[in-house]
Amino acid sequence: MDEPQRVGRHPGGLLFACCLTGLLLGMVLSAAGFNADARTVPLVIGVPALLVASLQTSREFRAFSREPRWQGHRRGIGRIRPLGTRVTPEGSSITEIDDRWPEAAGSPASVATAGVPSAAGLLWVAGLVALVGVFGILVAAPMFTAAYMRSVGRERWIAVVALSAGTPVVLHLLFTWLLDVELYRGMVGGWMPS
Amino acid sequence: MADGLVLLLDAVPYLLLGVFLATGVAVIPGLGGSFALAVLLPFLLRLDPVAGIVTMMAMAAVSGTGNTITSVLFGIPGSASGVVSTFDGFPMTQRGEGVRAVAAGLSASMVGGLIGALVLGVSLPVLRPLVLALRPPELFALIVLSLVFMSFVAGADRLKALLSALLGVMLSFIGMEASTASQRWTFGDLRLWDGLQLVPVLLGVYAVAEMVFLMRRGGAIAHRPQQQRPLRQLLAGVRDTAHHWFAVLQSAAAGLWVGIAPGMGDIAAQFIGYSQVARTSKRGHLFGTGEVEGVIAADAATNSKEGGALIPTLAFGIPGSSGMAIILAGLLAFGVQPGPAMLVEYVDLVWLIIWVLALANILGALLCMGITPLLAKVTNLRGSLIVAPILVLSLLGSYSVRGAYLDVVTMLAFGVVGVLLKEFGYSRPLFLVGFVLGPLLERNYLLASRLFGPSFLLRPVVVVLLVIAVAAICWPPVAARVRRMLRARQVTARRRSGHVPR
Repeated sequence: MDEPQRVGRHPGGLLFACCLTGLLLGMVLSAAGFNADARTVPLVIGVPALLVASLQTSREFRAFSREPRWQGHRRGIGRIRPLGTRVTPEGSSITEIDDRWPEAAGSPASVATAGVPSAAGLLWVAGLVALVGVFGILVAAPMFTAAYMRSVGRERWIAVVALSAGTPVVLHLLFTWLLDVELYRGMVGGWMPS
Repeated sequence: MADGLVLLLDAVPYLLLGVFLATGVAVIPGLGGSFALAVLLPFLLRLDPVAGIVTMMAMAAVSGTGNTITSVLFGIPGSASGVVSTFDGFPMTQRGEGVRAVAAGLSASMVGGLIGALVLGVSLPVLRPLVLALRPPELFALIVLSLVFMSFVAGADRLKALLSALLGVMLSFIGMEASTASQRWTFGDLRLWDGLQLVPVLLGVYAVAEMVFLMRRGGAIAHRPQQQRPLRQLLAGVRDTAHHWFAVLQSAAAGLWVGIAPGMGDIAAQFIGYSQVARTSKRGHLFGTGEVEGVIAADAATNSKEGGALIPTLAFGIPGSSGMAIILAGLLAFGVQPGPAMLVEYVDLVWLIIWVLALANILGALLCMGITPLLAKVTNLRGSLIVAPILVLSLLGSYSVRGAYLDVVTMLAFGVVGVLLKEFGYSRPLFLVGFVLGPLLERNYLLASRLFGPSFLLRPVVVVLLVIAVAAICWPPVAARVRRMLRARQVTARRRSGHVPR
């Protein structure tokens, strides 16, 4: 199950709560302008949701102004270790250093296998989505696979080529041939068969 | 009963076909068993009616089974019904016990499916008054109560859990309102008229977010190597299910009842079954940290729900779930009209369906157990080898819903949402529950208010359910305050009597 990673120690929590409150406020205000049937349930749900969000924002603000400043992530050798507060089932907060991550079997013990920050990870995903939009799935998938495995994973070329080359073949067989799902061809149109 | 069995013996190859197809597709993230059913239905209609119905029912019976594998091993639900399996299953995988968790989940869902089939067989003639009593007002109140109850098992922070659920409900309203065709938050974009699609939202919140966290962590999905040999883990998982037989029965019963209520959704069945066991188990406070009983509780409800959902579908022609809606379409296409008359004119067909349900559950579980050890090895591979394929598959899963690039962008957007929700301690499962139940909530509310006016809120069952929901929200802070007052009085009394130094 999702576990609370931090409790009011990081300004991010407060900012996120503020964003949620703002989003719900915008939705409630705009829902008031819909016609009768269209606005009823959004308001019935939206107003309590706005109250709950406001309550949460005030909790985050109180906790943020009360708690010591968040110390950030600590970088271990070859790994990123999160430093945060975990809420126990009994409800009390404890600070834990999570060092439960041994090296996976067979992985090179080097800084190169250290993770990428979440924002960078999301940029990688955004890059994949953009590539698909331009080149289509069958072309974008091997490009992304090769780029990711090589630049982040530092995998050997043979693994990169094998996985990248195999990807469009598997996708074509599984989706186009077996499930008869037409694959997106992108703005360029794609020169590979769909 | 015997006639149904005779029909089945002639159609065993189609039973096996249905099980293979549904399981093979369900293990791909985002492509739940219902996807396979929807895509392959046009081909099934070309078969002989008995063969087609057997294949279709076999696929429906095991649509939740394959979900368990991706949910537990990768933390990525194959569809909404696999969300709850991730709570305890994925932590177990990270501990190197993925095969055990999958085996426990599969055997629990097999037993749950058998219970669902059994109840279907004996109860069809007698449950009519109950199903007909569940009208829109009662369904509305039931959904409200479900959302509130689910907030209590989502984690320690109930306010964040409730907010997550309400946010999901609000976002589910994006699109065209069905009864008046009003546009809500579509910003004039035609592609948003149908609203946000569930699969891209699910894949964004789970698959993309989990892969981003895997990228951040580095290493493999499993934090440790597999603790035991696969076969030992498989047997351990099956033994766990036998040991926690009461949890299986509880969860299966809960899933069955939720399945009977039309349109409650797969995720509600799993969640309610899970929360029921969490409340009564001695280790309920550890649920969510990798308790095998939690996996069993989640999965027993999954397939028992199908048996429950078949009751309104076959007996009254009211689909009990989205998968059942596809089944209903298939039955009608084969010339079989579900409803009260079906129980008289097509009794042998009804028994055939019940036998298919039972056997498909067993075969599906055995098949999935056979492939699990192989898939479990993937959890020990380096993240750099699996992130790209999983992201590509998830992207394809999103795109295949309706062939729209917008759904891929939606997946990305909700990937950001999923990362933020997890990062700041909100509940992704509750968010998804709210997203799934939002349209049902609205539909039942509007129907109820049109049929009964505002006085639908005064119907006895509705009053009881809503009072319970309000009490469930208000009681914890009141109880905490009362406990604090009593404790303060005790301390004061002890100080006065000299037992506690100042």
